[in-house]
Amino acid sequence: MEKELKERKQVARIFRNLIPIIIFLVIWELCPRLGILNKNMIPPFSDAIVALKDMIVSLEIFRHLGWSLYRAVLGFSLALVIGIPLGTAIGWNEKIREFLSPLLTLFGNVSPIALFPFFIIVFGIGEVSKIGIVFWGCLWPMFMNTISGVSHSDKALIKAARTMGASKKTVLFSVVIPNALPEIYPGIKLSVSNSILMLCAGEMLGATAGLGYLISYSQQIFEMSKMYASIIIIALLGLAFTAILNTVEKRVFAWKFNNEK
Amino acid sequence: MSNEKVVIDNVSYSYKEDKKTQESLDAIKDVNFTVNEGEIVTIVGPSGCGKSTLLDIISGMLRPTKGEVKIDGNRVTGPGKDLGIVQQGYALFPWRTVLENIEFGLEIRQIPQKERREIAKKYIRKVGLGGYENKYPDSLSGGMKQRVSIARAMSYKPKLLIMDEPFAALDPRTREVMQNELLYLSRSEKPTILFVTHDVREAVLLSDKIVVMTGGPGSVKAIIDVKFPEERKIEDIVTLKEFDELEKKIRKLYGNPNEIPNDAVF
Ligand SMILES: Nc1ncnc2c1ncn2[C@@H]1O[C@H](COP(=O)(O)OP(=O)(O)OP(=O)(O)O)[C@@H](O)[C@H]1O
Ligand SMILES: [Mg+2]
Repeated sequence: MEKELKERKQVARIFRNLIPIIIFLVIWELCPRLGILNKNMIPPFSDAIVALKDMIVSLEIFRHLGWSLYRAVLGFSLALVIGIPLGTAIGWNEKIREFLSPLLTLFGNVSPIALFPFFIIVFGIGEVSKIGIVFWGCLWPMFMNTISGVSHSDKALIKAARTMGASKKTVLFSVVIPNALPEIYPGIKLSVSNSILMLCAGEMLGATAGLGYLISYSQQIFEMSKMYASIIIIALLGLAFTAILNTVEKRVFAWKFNNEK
Repeated sequence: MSNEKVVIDNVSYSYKEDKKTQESLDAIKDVNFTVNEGEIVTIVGPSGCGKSTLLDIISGMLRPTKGEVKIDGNRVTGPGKDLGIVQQGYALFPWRTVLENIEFGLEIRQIPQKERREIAKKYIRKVGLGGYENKYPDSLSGGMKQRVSIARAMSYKPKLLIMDEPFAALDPRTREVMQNELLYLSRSEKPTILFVTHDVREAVLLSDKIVVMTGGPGSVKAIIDVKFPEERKIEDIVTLKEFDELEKKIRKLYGNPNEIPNDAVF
Protein backbone atom coordinates (compact mmCIF):
# COMPACT_ATOMS: atom_id res chain seq x y z
CA MET A 1 0.00 0.00 0.00
CA GLU A 2 2.59 2.46 1.19
CA LYS A 3 4.95 1.49 -1.58
CA GLU A 4 2.27 2.11 -4.17
CA LEU A 5 1.66 5.54 -2.75
CA LYS A 6 5.35 6.32 -2.89
CA GLU A 7 5.56 5.22 -6.51
CA ARG A 8 2.58 7.34 -7.43
CA LYS A 9 4.17 10.34 -5.75
CA GLN A 10 7.36 9.75 -7.69
CA VAL A 11 5.52 9.60 -10.99
CA ALA A 12 3.75 12.84 -10.09
CA ARG A 13 7.08 14.48 -9.34
CA ILE A 14 8.56 13.41 -12.66
CA PHE A 15 5.56 14.91 -14.44
CA ARG A 16 5.94 18.14 -12.52
CA ASN A 17 9.59 18.35 -13.56
CA LEU A 18 8.66 17.73 -17.18
CA ILE A 19 6.14 20.61 -17.38
CA PRO A 20 8.61 23.47 -17.92
CA ILE A 21 10.50 21.39 -20.47
CA ILE A 22 7.30 20.66 -22.36
CA ILE A 23 6.36 24.35 -22.33
CA PHE A 24 9.79 25.22 -23.70
CA LEU A 25 9.47 22.65 -26.49
CA VAL A 26 5.99 23.92 -27.40
CA ILE A 27 7.33 27.47 -27.68
CA TRP A 28 10.23 26.19 -29.77
CA GLU A 29 7.76 24.39 -32.03
CA LEU A 30 5.31 27.28 -32.40
CA CYS A 31 7.50 30.37 -32.71
CA PRO A 32 9.19 29.40 -36.00
CA ARG A 33 5.87 28.11 -37.39
CA LEU A 34 4.06 31.34 -36.55
CA GLY A 35 6.86 33.40 -38.05
CA ILE A 36 7.91 34.89 -34.70
CA LEU A 37 11.39 33.39 -35.17
CA ASN A 38 13.24 32.97 -38.46
CA LYS A 39 12.64 29.39 -39.62
CA ASN A 40 15.98 29.29 -41.43
CA MET A 41 17.89 30.02 -38.25
CA ILE A 42 15.70 28.18 -35.79
CA PRO A 43 13.61 25.46 -37.36
CA PRO A 44 10.75 24.00 -35.28
CA PHE A 45 11.51 21.32 -32.73
CA SER A 46 9.78 18.67 -34.84
CA ASP A 47 12.18 19.35 -37.73
CA ALA A 48 15.11 18.70 -35.40
CA ILE A 49 13.46 15.44 -34.32
CA VAL A 50 12.96 14.37 -37.95
CA ALA A 51 16.63 15.15 -38.66
CA LEU A 52 17.58 13.16 -35.61
CA LYS A 53 15.46 10.21 -36.77
CA ASP A 54 17.08 10.33 -40.21
CA MET A 55 20.54 10.28 -38.67
CA ILE A 56 19.57 7.33 -36.51
CA VAL A 57 18.09 5.41 -39.45
CA SER A 58 21.16 6.07 -41.59
CA LEU A 59 23.34 5.16 -38.59
CA GLU A 60 25.27 8.37 -39.17
CA ILE A 61 24.75 9.55 -35.62
CA PHE A 62 26.35 6.45 -34.13
CA ARG A 63 29.64 7.10 -35.85
CA HIS A 64 29.79 10.58 -34.33
CA LEU A 65 28.50 9.47 -30.96
CA GLY A 66 31.04 6.67 -30.95
CA TRP A 67 33.95 8.97 -31.63
CA SER A 68 32.83 11.48 -29.05
CA LEU A 69 32.29 8.84 -26.39
CA TYR A 70 35.66 7.32 -27.15
CA ARG A 71 37.44 10.67 -26.68
CA ALA A 72 35.45 11.65 -23.62
CA VAL A 73 35.86 8.32 -21.87
CA LEU A 74 39.53 8.01 -22.71
CA GLY A 75 40.36 11.59 -21.67
CA PHE A 76 38.34 11.26 -18.48
CA SER A 77 39.78 7.88 -17.53
CA LEU A 78 43.34 9.08 -18.02
CA ALA A 79 42.59 12.07 -15.81
CA LEU A 80 41.03 9.76 -13.20
CA VAL A 81 43.89 7.27 -13.02
CA ILE A 82 46.47 10.06 -12.87
CA GLY A 83 44.61 12.75 -10.91
CA ILE A 84 43.36 10.72 -7.99
CA PRO A 85 46.50 8.76 -7.07
CA LEU A 86 48.68 11.82 -7.63
CA GLY A 87 46.28 14.01 -5.68
CA THR A 88 46.28 11.49 -2.85
CA ALA A 89 50.08 11.40 -2.75
CA ILE A 90 50.36 15.17 -2.71
CA GLY A 91 47.53 15.63 -0.20
CA TRP A 92 49.04 13.02 2.11
CA ASN A 93 52.48 14.62 2.19
CA GLU A 94 52.31 17.99 3.88
CA LYS A 95 55.76 19.19 2.80
CA ILE A 96 55.26 18.44 -0.88
CA ARG A 97 51.76 19.91 -0.72
CA GLU A 98 52.90 23.17 0.76
CA PHE A 99 55.74 23.41 -1.72
CA LEU A 100 53.58 22.77 -4.79
CA SER A 101 50.43 24.54 -3.75
CA PRO A 102 51.14 27.96 -5.35
CA LEU A 103 51.98 26.32 -8.66
CA LEU A 104 48.93 24.07 -8.55
CA THR A 105 46.63 26.96 -7.73
CA LEU A 106 48.07 28.81 -10.73
CA PHE A 107 47.59 25.88 -13.10
CA GLY A 108 44.13 25.10 -11.80
CA ASN A 109 43.05 28.62 -12.56
CA VAL A 110 44.13 28.63 -16.20
CA SER A 111 41.00 28.07 -18.26
CA PRO A 112 41.57 24.91 -20.29
CA ILE A 113 39.97 26.63 -23.27
CA ALA A 114 42.70 29.25 -23.18
CA LEU A 115 45.19 26.42 -23.61
CA PHE A 116 43.71 25.22 -26.91
CA PRO A 117 46.31 26.99 -29.05
CA PHE A 118 49.03 25.45 -26.92
CA PHE A 119 47.65 21.94 -27.44
CA ILE A 120 47.34 22.51 -31.17
CA ILE A 121 50.87 23.85 -31.50
CA VAL A 122 52.36 21.02 -29.47
CA PHE A 123 50.20 18.07 -30.52
CA GLY A 124 48.78 19.19 -33.87
CA ILE A 125 45.06 18.87 -34.64
CA GLY A 126 44.96 15.08 -34.41
CA GLU A 127 43.51 12.73 -31.80
CA VAL A 128 46.24 13.38 -29.25
CA SER A 129 45.35 17.02 -29.10
CA LYS A 130 41.61 16.41 -28.66
CA ILE A 131 42.01 13.73 -26.03
CA GLY A 132 44.66 15.86 -24.37
CA ILE A 133 42.22 18.76 -24.11
CA VAL A 134 39.56 16.56 -22.55
CA PHE A 135 42.17 15.10 -20.21
CA TRP A 136 43.31 18.53 -19.10
CA GLY A 137 39.79 19.78 -18.47
CA CYS A 138 38.93 16.66 -16.47
CA LEU A 139 42.17 16.52 -14.53
CA TRP A 140 41.99 19.66 -12.42
CA PRO A 141 38.69 19.33 -10.59
CA MET A 142 39.44 15.74 -9.54
CA PHE A 143 43.07 16.46 -8.77
CA MET A 144 42.48 19.56 -6.65
CA ASN A 145 39.54 18.08 -4.76
CA THR A 146 41.54 14.96 -3.99
CA ILE A 147 44.45 16.97 -2.63
CA SER A 148 42.12 19.02 -0.49
CA GLY A 149 40.04 16.07 0.74
CA VAL A 150 43.05 13.96 1.65
CA SER A 151 44.78 16.82 3.45
CA HIS A 152 41.68 17.64 5.52
CA SER A 153 41.31 14.19 6.95
CA ASP A 154 39.78 13.93 10.40
CA LYS A 155 42.60 13.67 12.97
CA ALA A 156 40.45 11.87 15.53
CA LEU A 157 39.63 9.11 13.04
CA ILE A 158 43.28 8.68 12.13
CA LYS A 159 44.09 8.54 15.82
CA ALA A 160 41.41 5.91 16.36
CA ALA A 161 42.81 3.74 13.57
CA ARG A 162 46.45 4.18 14.55
CA THR A 163 45.80 3.26 18.17
CA MET A 164 43.88 0.18 17.07
CA GLY A 165 47.13 -0.91 15.45
CA ALA A 166 46.49 0.11 11.83
CA SER A 167 49.54 0.48 9.59
CA LYS A 168 50.09 3.68 7.62
CA LYS A 169 48.79 1.90 4.53
CA THR A 170 45.60 0.78 6.28
CA VAL A 171 45.10 4.29 7.61
CA LEU A 172 45.39 5.65 4.08
CA PHE A 173 43.06 3.17 2.41
CA SER A 174 40.58 2.54 5.22
CA VAL A 175 40.37 5.97 6.77
CA VAL A 176 41.89 8.84 4.81
CA ILE A 177 40.49 7.96 1.40
CA PRO A 178 36.94 7.08 2.53
CA ASN A 179 37.02 10.24 4.61
CA ALA A 180 38.05 12.29 1.56
CA LEU A 181 35.54 10.73 -0.85
CA PRO A 182 32.72 13.18 -0.11
CA GLU A 183 35.06 15.92 -1.30
CA ILE A 184 36.58 13.95 -4.19
CA TYR A 185 33.23 13.00 -5.67
CA PRO A 186 32.01 16.51 -6.55
CA GLY A 187 35.36 16.92 -8.32
CA ILE A 188 34.61 13.81 -10.35
CA LYS A 189 31.16 15.18 -11.23
CA LEU A 190 32.65 18.46 -12.37
CA SER A 191 35.22 16.57 -14.43
CA VAL A 192 32.51 14.64 -16.20
CA SER A 193 30.65 17.78 -17.18
CA ASN A 194 33.95 19.36 -18.21
CA SER A 195 34.65 16.35 -20.41
CA ILE A 196 31.59 17.07 -22.57
CA LEU A 197 32.39 20.76 -22.67
CA MET A 198 35.99 20.28 -23.70
CA LEU A 199 35.02 17.57 -26.13
CA CYS A 200 32.58 19.78 -28.06
CA ALA A 201 35.00 22.66 -28.18
CA GLY A 202 37.89 20.41 -29.24
CA GLU A 203 35.88 18.72 -31.98
CA MET A 204 34.73 22.04 -33.38
CA LEU A 205 38.30 23.12 -33.91
CA GLY A 206 39.27 20.39 -36.23
CA ALA A 207 37.88 16.90 -36.60
CA THR A 208 36.22 14.71 -39.17
CA ALA A 209 33.85 13.02 -36.80
CA GLY A 210 32.23 13.54 -33.43
CA LEU A 211 29.26 15.46 -32.08
CA GLY A 212 31.13 18.76 -31.84
CA TYR A 213 32.22 18.33 -35.44
CA LEU A 214 28.65 17.49 -36.45
CA ILE A 215 27.38 20.70 -34.88
CA SER A 216 29.88 22.98 -36.57
CA TYR A 217 29.72 21.12 -39.89
CA SER A 218 25.90 21.27 -40.03
CA GLN A 219 26.08 24.94 -39.30
CA GLN A 220 28.60 25.49 -42.08
CA ILE A 221 26.48 23.72 -44.69
CA PHE A 222 23.41 25.39 -43.24
CA GLU A 223 21.52 22.25 -42.20
CA MET A 224 20.03 23.80 -39.11
CA SER A 225 17.71 20.93 -38.18
CA LYS A 226 20.70 18.60 -38.11
CA MET A 227 22.64 21.04 -35.97
CA TYR A 228 19.87 21.20 -33.37
CA ALA A 229 19.49 17.44 -33.51
CA SER A 230 23.17 17.12 -32.56
CA ILE A 231 22.72 19.59 -29.73
CA ILE A 232 19.82 17.50 -28.43
CA ILE A 233 22.04 14.41 -28.50
CA ILE A 234 24.71 16.21 -26.48
CA ALA A 235 22.13 17.35 -23.95
CA LEU A 236 20.85 13.77 -23.63
CA LEU A 237 24.40 12.53 -23.23
CA GLY A 238 24.91 15.00 -20.38
CA LEU A 239 21.65 13.86 -18.76
CA ALA A 240 22.71 10.23 -19.02
CA PHE A 241 26.07 10.95 -17.40
CA THR A 242 24.39 12.86 -14.60
CA ALA A 243 21.96 10.02 -14.00
CA ILE A 244 24.80 7.51 -13.81
CA LEU A 245 26.79 9.74 -11.45
CA ASN A 246 23.82 10.22 -9.15
CA THR A 247 23.12 6.51 -9.02
CA VAL A 248 26.74 5.79 -8.15
CA GLU A 249 26.65 8.55 -5.53
CA LYS A 250 23.62 7.01 -3.82
CA ARG A 251 25.45 3.69 -3.59
CA VAL A 252 28.89 4.93 -2.56
CA PHE A 253 27.53 7.40 -0.03
CA ALA A 254 24.73 5.23 1.24
CA TRP A 255 25.74 6.31 4.75
CA LYS A 256 24.92 9.90 3.90
CA PHE A 257 21.52 9.18 2.42
CA ASN A 258 20.32 6.43 4.74
CA ASN A 259 20.22 5.75 8.45
CA GLU A 260 21.08 2.13 8.03
CA LYS A 261 22.54 -0.37 5.64
CA MET B 1 59.02 -4.11 39.56
CA SER B 2 57.63 -6.49 37.04
CA ASN B 3 53.96 -5.61 37.37
CA GLU B 4 54.35 -1.98 36.38
CA LYS B 5 52.38 -1.64 33.19
CA VAL B 6 52.69 2.06 32.47
CA VAL B 7 55.37 4.30 33.92
CA ILE B 8 55.01 8.02 33.38
CA ASP B 9 58.39 9.47 34.11
CA ASN B 10 58.67 13.24 34.48
CA VAL B 11 56.60 13.95 31.40
CA SER B 12 56.07 17.49 30.10
CA TYR B 13 54.37 18.60 26.93
CA SER B 14 54.06 21.98 25.25
CA TYR B 15 51.88 22.63 22.22
CA LYS B 16 53.50 24.69 19.54
CA GLU B 17 50.87 27.35 19.76
CA ASP B 18 51.14 29.68 16.85
CA LYS B 19 53.04 29.54 13.60
CA LYS B 20 53.32 33.30 13.59
CA THR B 21 54.08 34.19 17.20
CA GLN B 22 56.13 31.04 17.86
CA GLU B 23 54.62 30.97 21.31
CA SER B 24 54.09 27.61 22.91
CA LEU B 25 51.72 26.45 25.58
CA ASP B 26 52.76 24.22 28.47
CA ALA B 27 49.92 21.73 28.63
CA ILE B 28 51.47 19.43 31.25
CA LYS B 29 54.60 19.71 33.36
CA ASP B 30 56.61 17.08 35.25
CA VAL B 31 53.95 14.44 35.54
CA ASN B 32 54.91 11.24 37.36
CA PHE B 33 52.87 8.19 38.19
CA THR B 34 52.70 4.48 37.65
CA VAL B 35 49.89 2.20 36.63
CA ASN B 36 50.22 -1.40 37.68
CA GLU B 37 49.15 -4.35 35.62
CA GLY B 38 45.42 -5.04 35.88
CA GLU B 39 44.64 -1.85 37.76
CA ILE B 40 41.95 0.65 37.04
CA VAL B 41 43.43 4.12 37.38
CA THR B 42 41.35 7.24 36.91
CA ILE B 43 42.55 10.74 36.25
CA VAL B 44 40.38 13.56 37.54
CA GLY B 45 40.95 17.28 37.24
CA PRO B 46 39.43 20.47 35.95
CA SER B 47 38.79 21.08 32.26
CA GLY B 48 41.90 22.06 30.33
CA CYS B 49 44.41 20.66 32.85
CA GLY B 50 45.92 18.37 30.23
CA LYS B 51 44.20 15.03 30.81
CA SER B 52 43.57 14.33 27.14
CA THR B 53 47.06 15.49 26.29
CA LEU B 54 48.50 13.04 28.80
CA LEU B 55 46.43 10.19 27.34
CA ASP B 56 47.65 11.10 23.85
CA ILE B 57 51.22 10.85 25.08
CA ILE B 58 50.61 7.48 26.72
CA SER B 59 48.94 6.15 23.60
CA GLY B 60 51.92 7.25 21.52
CA MET B 61 50.11 9.86 19.45
CA LEU B 62 52.16 12.72 20.91
CA ARG B 63 55.87 12.69 21.76
CA PRO B 64 56.57 14.25 25.17
CA THR B 65 58.73 17.34 25.00
CA LYS B 66 60.44 16.14 28.17
CA GLY B 67 60.55 12.85 30.06
CA GLU B 68 59.29 9.52 28.81
CA VAL B 69 56.51 7.00 29.04
CA LYS B 70 57.27 3.31 29.36
CA ILE B 71 54.80 0.55 28.67
CA ASP B 72 55.89 -2.95 29.73
CA GLY B 73 59.33 -1.47 30.28
CA ASN B 74 59.68 -0.16 26.72
CA ARG B 75 59.82 3.49 25.86
CA VAL B 76 56.75 4.57 23.90
CA THR B 77 57.64 5.95 20.47
CA GLY B 78 54.39 5.42 18.56
CA PRO B 79 50.93 3.91 18.90
CA GLY B 80 51.25 0.62 20.74
CA LYS B 81 50.17 -2.68 19.25
CA ASP B 82 47.98 -3.78 22.14
CA LEU B 83 46.03 -0.69 22.93
CA GLY B 84 42.38 0.26 22.95
CA ILE B 85 41.29 3.86 23.19
CA VAL B 86 37.97 5.59 23.59
CA GLN B 87 38.27 9.22 22.58
CA GLN B 88 36.33 12.14 23.94
CA GLY B 89 34.69 12.77 20.55
CA TYR B 90 33.85 9.05 19.94
CA ALA B 91 35.73 9.07 16.59
CA LEU B 92 33.46 6.61 14.82
CA PHE B 93 33.89 6.04 11.10
CA PRO B 94 30.73 7.59 9.62
CA TRP B 95 30.85 5.42 6.50
CA ARG B 96 30.81 2.22 8.54
CA THR B 97 27.80 0.78 10.31
CA VAL B 98 27.83 0.13 14.06
CA LEU B 99 28.82 -3.47 13.38
CA GLU B 100 31.55 -2.50 10.89
CA ASN B 101 32.92 0.11 13.27
CA ILE B 102 33.31 -2.48 16.00
CA GLU B 103 34.89 -4.88 13.54
CA PHE B 104 37.66 -2.44 12.60
CA GLY B 105 40.17 -3.46 15.26
CA LEU B 106 39.37 -7.12 14.62
CA GLU B 107 39.98 -6.64 10.89
CA ILE B 108 43.40 -5.22 11.65
CA ARG B 109 44.11 -8.28 13.74
CA GLN B 110 43.09 -10.37 10.72
CA ILE B 111 40.37 -12.26 12.51
CA PRO B 112 38.29 -14.14 9.92
CA GLN B 113 35.07 -12.49 8.83
CA LYS B 114 32.68 -14.95 10.46
CA GLU B 115 34.37 -14.87 13.83
CA ARG B 116 34.65 -11.10 13.60
CA ARG B 117 30.90 -10.78 13.11
CA GLU B 118 30.23 -12.95 16.14
CA ILE B 119 32.59 -11.05 18.42
CA ALA B 120 31.25 -7.68 17.26
CA LYS B 121 27.68 -8.82 17.85
CA LYS B 122 28.55 -10.05 21.32
CA TYR B 123 29.93 -6.63 22.24
CA ILE B 124 26.97 -4.84 20.68
CA ARG B 125 24.75 -6.81 23.05
CA LYS B 126 27.06 -6.06 25.98
CA VAL B 127 26.70 -2.31 25.48
CA GLY B 128 22.96 -2.65 24.97
CA LEU B 129 22.80 -1.75 21.30
CA GLY B 130 21.16 -4.93 19.98
CA GLY B 131 19.09 -4.06 16.91
CA TYR B 132 21.35 -1.18 15.93
CA GLU B 133 23.99 -3.32 14.16
CA ASN B 134 23.34 -1.91 10.72
CA LYS B 135 22.78 1.73 11.61
CA TYR B 136 25.23 4.40 10.55
CA PRO B 137 26.74 6.49 13.40
CA ASP B 138 25.15 9.73 12.19
CA SER B 139 21.76 8.37 13.15
CA LEU B 140 22.77 7.55 16.75
CA SER B 141 22.53 9.67 19.88
CA GLY B 142 25.67 10.82 21.71
CA GLY B 143 25.32 8.14 24.37
CA MET B 144 24.86 5.43 21.75
CA LYS B 145 27.92 6.59 19.83
CA GLN B 146 29.89 6.50 23.04
CA ARG B 147 28.86 2.91 23.64
CA VAL B 148 29.87 1.92 20.10
CA SER B 149 33.24 3.51 20.73
CA ILE B 150 33.61 1.56 23.98
CA ALA B 151 32.59 -1.70 22.33
CA ARG B 152 35.06 -1.05 19.52
CA ALA B 153 37.92 -0.56 21.97
CA MET B 154 37.00 -3.62 24.06
CA SER B 155 36.25 -6.02 21.20
CA TYR B 156 39.83 -7.04 20.48
CA LYS B 157 40.70 -7.36 24.17
CA PRO B 158 43.63 -4.97 24.38
CA LYS B 159 45.94 -5.33 27.35
CA LEU B 160 45.75 -1.58 27.95
CA LEU B 161 42.50 0.37 27.70
CA ILE B 162 42.68 4.15 27.64
CA MET B 163 39.39 5.96 27.90
CA ASP B 164 38.68 9.68 27.87
CA GLU B 165 35.42 10.40 29.71
CA PRO B 166 33.89 7.25 28.30
CA PHE B 167 30.60 7.51 30.18
CA ALA B 168 30.10 11.26 30.04
CA ALA B 169 27.26 11.21 27.53
CA LEU B 170 25.30 8.39 29.15
CA ASP B 171 22.14 8.64 31.20
CA PRO B 172 22.57 7.58 34.88
CA ARG B 173 21.00 4.17 34.41
CA THR B 174 23.06 3.22 31.34
CA ARG B 175 26.11 4.69 32.96
CA GLU B 176 25.75 2.37 35.93
CA VAL B 177 25.31 -0.61 33.63
CA MET B 178 28.49 0.36 31.79
CA GLN B 179 30.39 0.90 35.02
CA ASN B 180 29.47 -2.58 36.19
CA GLU B 181 30.40 -3.92 32.78
CA LEU B 182 33.80 -2.29 33.14
CA LEU B 183 34.32 -3.82 36.58
CA TYR B 184 33.30 -7.19 35.18
CA LEU B 185 35.71 -6.81 32.27
CA SER B 186 38.43 -5.80 34.67
CA ARG B 187 37.91 -8.98 36.68
CA SER B 188 37.52 -11.35 33.76
CA GLU B 189 40.09 -10.15 31.22
CA LYS B 190 42.32 -8.25 33.63
CA PRO B 191 43.30 -5.46 31.25
CA THR B 192 45.01 -2.40 32.63
CA ILE B 193 42.55 0.48 32.47
CA LEU B 194 43.37 4.14 32.51
CA PHE B 195 40.55 6.54 32.28
CA VAL B 196 39.59 10.17 32.64
CA THR B 197 36.42 11.29 34.29
CA HIS B 198 34.95 14.48 35.67
CA ASP B 199 32.78 12.49 37.99
CA VAL B 200 34.47 12.10 41.39
CA ARG B 201 31.93 9.53 42.49
CA GLU B 202 32.65 7.45 39.39
CA ALA B 203 36.36 7.69 40.07
CA VAL B 204 35.93 6.41 43.62
CA LEU B 205 33.61 3.62 42.51
CA LEU B 206 35.84 2.19 39.85
CA SER B 207 39.46 2.89 40.62
CA ASP B 208 42.29 1.21 42.39
CA LYS B 209 44.10 4.51 42.20
CA ILE B 210 42.99 8.07 41.55
CA VAL B 211 45.32 10.67 40.07
CA VAL B 212 44.12 14.18 40.85
CA MET B 213 45.48 16.80 38.45
CA THR B 214 45.40 20.56 38.55
CA GLY B 215 45.77 23.03 35.75
CA GLY B 216 48.11 25.78 34.65
CA PRO B 217 50.30 23.93 33.63
CA GLY B 218 48.81 20.51 34.24
CA SER B 219 50.48 18.54 36.99
CA VAL B 220 49.66 15.85 39.54
CA LYS B 221 48.25 17.21 42.78
CA ALA B 222 47.67 13.95 44.59
CA ILE B 223 47.58 10.22 44.04
CA ILE B 224 45.08 8.33 46.15
CA ASP B 225 44.90 4.58 46.60
CA VAL B 226 41.43 3.16 46.83
CA LYS B 227 40.89 -0.07 48.72
CA PHE B 228 37.52 -1.75 48.59
CA PRO B 229 36.59 -5.41 48.91
CA GLU B 230 37.74 -7.53 45.98
CA GLU B 231 34.39 -8.20 44.31
CA ARG B 232 33.14 -4.71 43.75
CA LYS B 233 29.49 -4.13 43.07
CA ILE B 234 28.41 -0.56 42.68
CA GLU B 235 25.23 -1.08 44.71
CA ASP B 236 27.31 -2.35 47.66
CA ILE B 237 30.15 0.12 47.57
CA VAL B 238 27.98 3.22 47.70
CA THR B 239 26.69 2.11 51.10
CA LEU B 240 30.19 1.92 52.64
CA LYS B 241 31.37 4.61 55.04
CA GLU B 242 34.81 4.69 53.41
CA PHE B 243 33.19 5.55 50.11
CA ASP B 244 31.70 8.77 51.47
CA GLU B 245 34.92 9.80 53.16
CA LEU B 246 36.97 9.21 50.05
CA GLU B 247 34.56 11.11 47.90
CA LYS B 248 34.69 14.08 50.25
CA LYS B 249 38.47 14.00 50.35
CA ILE B 250 38.81 14.06 46.58
CA ARG B 251 36.19 16.74 46.15
CA LYS B 252 38.27 18.91 48.44
CA LEU B 253 41.43 18.28 46.41
CA TYR B 254 39.61 18.79 43.15
CA GLY B 255 38.37 22.17 44.27
CA ASN B 256 34.82 23.30 43.89
CA PRO B 257 34.32 24.40 40.30
CA ASN B 258 31.48 26.62 41.42
CA GLU B 259 33.57 28.34 44.05
CA ILE B 260 33.45 32.11 43.71
CA PRO B 261 36.83 33.81 44.10
CA ASN B 262 37.13 36.12 47.13
CA ASP B 263 37.75 39.19 45.06
CA ALA B 264 34.84 38.62 42.70
CA VAL B 265 32.82 41.74 42.09
CA PHE B 266 29.24 41.72 40.90
N1 LIG C 1 45.97 20.68 19.57
C1 LIG C 1 46.22 21.63 20.49
N2 LIG C 1 46.94 22.73 20.17
C2 LIG C 1 47.21 23.68 21.08
N3 LIG C 1 46.80 23.63 22.36
C3 LIG C 1 46.07 22.55 22.74
C4 LIG C 1 45.74 21.50 21.83
N4 LIG C 1 45.01 20.58 22.49
C5 LIG C 1 44.88 21.03 23.75
N5 LIG C 1 45.52 22.20 23.91
C6 LIG C 1 45.63 22.97 25.14
O1 LIG C 1 46.26 22.15 26.12
C7 LIG C 1 45.61 22.29 27.37
C8 LIG C 1 45.16 20.92 27.86
O2 LIG C 1 44.17 20.42 27.00
P1 LIG C 1 43.51 19.00 27.19
O3 LIG C 1 42.61 18.76 26.04
O4 LIG C 1 44.58 18.01 27.43
O5 LIG C 1 42.65 19.24 28.52
P2 LIG C 1 41.66 18.25 29.30
O6 LIG C 1 42.16 18.14 30.68
O7 LIG C 1 41.49 17.00 28.53
O8 LIG C 1 40.30 19.08 29.30
P3 LIG C 1 38.78 18.54 29.24
O9 LIG C 1 38.47 18.01 30.59
O10 LIG C 1 37.99 19.77 28.95
O11 LIG C 1 38.71 17.53 28.18
C9 LIG C 1 44.49 23.26 27.19
O12 LIG C 1 44.91 24.53 27.68
C10 LIG C 1 44.28 23.35 25.71
O13 LIG C 1 43.91 24.65 25.32
MG1 LIG D 1 39.95 16.14 27.53
